[in-house]
Amino acid sequence: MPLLLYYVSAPAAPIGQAEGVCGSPLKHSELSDLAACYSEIDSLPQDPAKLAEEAVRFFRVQQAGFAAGCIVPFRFPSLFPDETLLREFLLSQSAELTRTLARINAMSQFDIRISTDQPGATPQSGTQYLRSRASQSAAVAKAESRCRTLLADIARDWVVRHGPARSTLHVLVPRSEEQETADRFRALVPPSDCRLVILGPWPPGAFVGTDTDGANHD
Amino acid sequence: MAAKPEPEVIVVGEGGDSEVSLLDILDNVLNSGVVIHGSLVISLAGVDLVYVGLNAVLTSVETARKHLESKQT
Repeated sequence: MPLLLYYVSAPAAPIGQAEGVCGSPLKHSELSDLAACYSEIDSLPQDPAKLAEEAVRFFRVQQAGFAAGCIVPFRFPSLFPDETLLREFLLSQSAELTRTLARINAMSQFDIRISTDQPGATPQSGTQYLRSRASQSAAVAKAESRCRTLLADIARDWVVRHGPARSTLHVLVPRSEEQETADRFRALVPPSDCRLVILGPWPPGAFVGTDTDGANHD
Repeated sequence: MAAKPEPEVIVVGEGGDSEVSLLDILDNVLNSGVVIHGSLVISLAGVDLVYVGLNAVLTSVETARKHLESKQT
């Protein structure tokens, strides 16, 4: 039966909860210095809405694992045909996964979504459009800079993803500083031309050294 | 290590929900974490081979995400 992989952790880390995607029982597969949390699933729902519900269950398992210790999260859905191939994968990637676990140990991730809030008039010319875009980009860049300054003494790493008139910053902070990080954002004076949404803490999935196309790693 | 609270949302500026939405969660599980590339060949009951394209599954979840986004805007 196919296996759905949730996360990799240190061997001693307990499973945070008992049930995973599609109600499947969670299992642990241990190698010498790694453990994988997975469950056996017959299939995933075809219906997008139901599949989204299962993605939330997947998220809950990762959050429970994160509450219990350090985890390297996998994206939804990471499937393996059987436990033999899962163990082969873990063996082949054990050095990298162990390094990653050490790097993000006792760390949390917060996501900062910056967007400009300038609805209304449609630009009447190309020049007007370009000016508007330049203005939005400048506002986003200014807000980014404020966030970096705000957490300069706490942040251990940043990953930035840029989009049109918006930007997402992933920041890696020590778990001991989660409350301080949240408190600083709550006390931040809102920028006049941007909206900031801060999400977290959650597992440092943006810092696990995988597909970072389009991202800037600082 | 002490158990951590549920993730929260802090909105700096006007408007917005203070709870983590389904959209936020989907964005997190689809865009964050280790990626395993490629397709899988799954044997069911030792007989049939089923080719599961991970991209097809991801596309399905993306469809749900975009549907949610369009409802929110």
